[in-house]
Amino acid sequence: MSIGGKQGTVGAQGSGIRVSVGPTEELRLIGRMATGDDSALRLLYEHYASLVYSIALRVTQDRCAAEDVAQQVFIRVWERPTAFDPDRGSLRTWMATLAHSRAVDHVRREQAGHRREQRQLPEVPSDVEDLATSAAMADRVRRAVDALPDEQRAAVLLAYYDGRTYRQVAATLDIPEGTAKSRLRLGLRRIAKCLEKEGYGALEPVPGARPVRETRPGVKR
Amino acid sequence: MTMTHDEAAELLGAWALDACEAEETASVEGHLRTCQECRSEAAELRKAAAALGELAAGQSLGTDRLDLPDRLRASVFQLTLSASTPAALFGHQIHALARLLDTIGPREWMASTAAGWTAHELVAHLLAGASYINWQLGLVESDPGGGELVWLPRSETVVAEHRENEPALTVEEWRTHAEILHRHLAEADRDDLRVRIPWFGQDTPLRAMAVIHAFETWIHAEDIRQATGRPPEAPTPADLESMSRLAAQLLGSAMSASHTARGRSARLVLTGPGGGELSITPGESITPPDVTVTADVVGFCRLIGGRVRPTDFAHRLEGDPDLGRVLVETAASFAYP
Repeated sequence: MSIGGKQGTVGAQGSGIRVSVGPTEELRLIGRMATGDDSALRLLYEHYASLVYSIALRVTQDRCAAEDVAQQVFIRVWERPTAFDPDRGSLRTWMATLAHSRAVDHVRREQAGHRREQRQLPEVPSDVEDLATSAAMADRVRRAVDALPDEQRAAVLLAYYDGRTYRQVAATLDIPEGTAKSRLRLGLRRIAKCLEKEGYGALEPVPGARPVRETRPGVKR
Repeated sequence: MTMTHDEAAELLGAWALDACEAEETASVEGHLRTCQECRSEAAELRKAAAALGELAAGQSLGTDRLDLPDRLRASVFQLTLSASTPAALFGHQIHALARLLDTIGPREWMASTAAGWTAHELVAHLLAGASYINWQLGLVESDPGGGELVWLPRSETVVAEHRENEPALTVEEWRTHAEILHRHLAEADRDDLRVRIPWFGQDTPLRAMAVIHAFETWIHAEDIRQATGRPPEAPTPADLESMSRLAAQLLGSAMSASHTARGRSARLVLTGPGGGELSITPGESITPPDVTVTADVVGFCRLIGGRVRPTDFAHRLEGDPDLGRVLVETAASFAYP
């Protein structure tokens, strides 16, 4: 299995999302981690720690928990970097996905422990205005979120940032569950479309990535 | 719970946002394995959901700059400084072997190795090992070893069956099983790693089984390199530390069965990256030890793997020479075919 074949897929996939820099460097970084190259893990940390920790902190609202979550994410990637599938998105997407799902696991465990004693959560979802940002990538995402119809934005933000299930979203917004499901799906679809137009997916290069042997880690799917 | 296409498709947004109940998540993912249409929508929605994470990161880049906790950096970097976890260790060894096997030419598959098998047969032998663990753990629905649980006949059976195959088929089946085991190890918690598997008459915890099998995978990769004229490759320091620690533990229990060694204390000083001092006496360490054996950590691992004869083992002895000899000979007797 060679990287060459994969690259083609990454570029062609994502219905027109432009991937200018990245996939090769990303696969090299993953390849280096698969051999146990510790400098690759350091590079991964420098590059993604802030993203991973921010997501964890935003969702758990707890510094200690966020630290645990971030640590779990890096352990997970270090132990099995070959779980990264470039066909499903960039390394940045994968890191963000791992961070979010582990942060949500934490929130659910907390809720189970407190027997549905609701955390102090705002009745209305976080205002996007609050999310001041200087990063260009975040700006593009904010524009996409701003462009959502109010009811879709409310549902999506409650689910993502507060780690609520679609049932909890339905209860919070006082809408049927089916409606919550479809608002989440339509909202995300719209964000995806909007980002595609904006060229999100153009990835930052991974700095300092050195070439490794051109083989895909021992993965069979 | 199985889900219809429509039910799963309806849940894709919630799934991408980690907003399903656990059972629904499993059902959606089950559906995704079989439905290309949903799989591509799921990937798009996941990317959009992940992009929302950029807002969280962007927020912290604003006025109130996010300070990453120092402890986080320390704990992540510690991962590479201390002994490898079983999942990382095993992952490194299967990756190294997979890379090696990608380069083996048609004639080289028949090269005969120090293990007494050809390169091709060795891969089948490793398949017998990985699938043994998977089968014992219930991770697979069928066993390439035909349910044979006694190690030697099992390995013989799998090797004999694969001898007639194309090497590529054997490699693919080995990779599949090695990946299943690797995924399980990466997802395992403490309790999962304590699960015991029968191994040469002993119920051995998965944690140790994984290290033993990783060790074996490295040794056989070395066998293939040697048989095909490639230079040897040493594991990373963290991997060597993990393997040599387990070896010292096993050595400790084996030594306690020996008349000469019973009740006596020995110390192993392993030099080179990944080395360290290990007490190989069961129970409390008694000072000073009756014998100290100093050797290179890679050399010690090769001795344990049965690839260095005791007489060729480069080491230094201080203290009781008889006890030292027993230690080296016991270490060399661990390897099984």
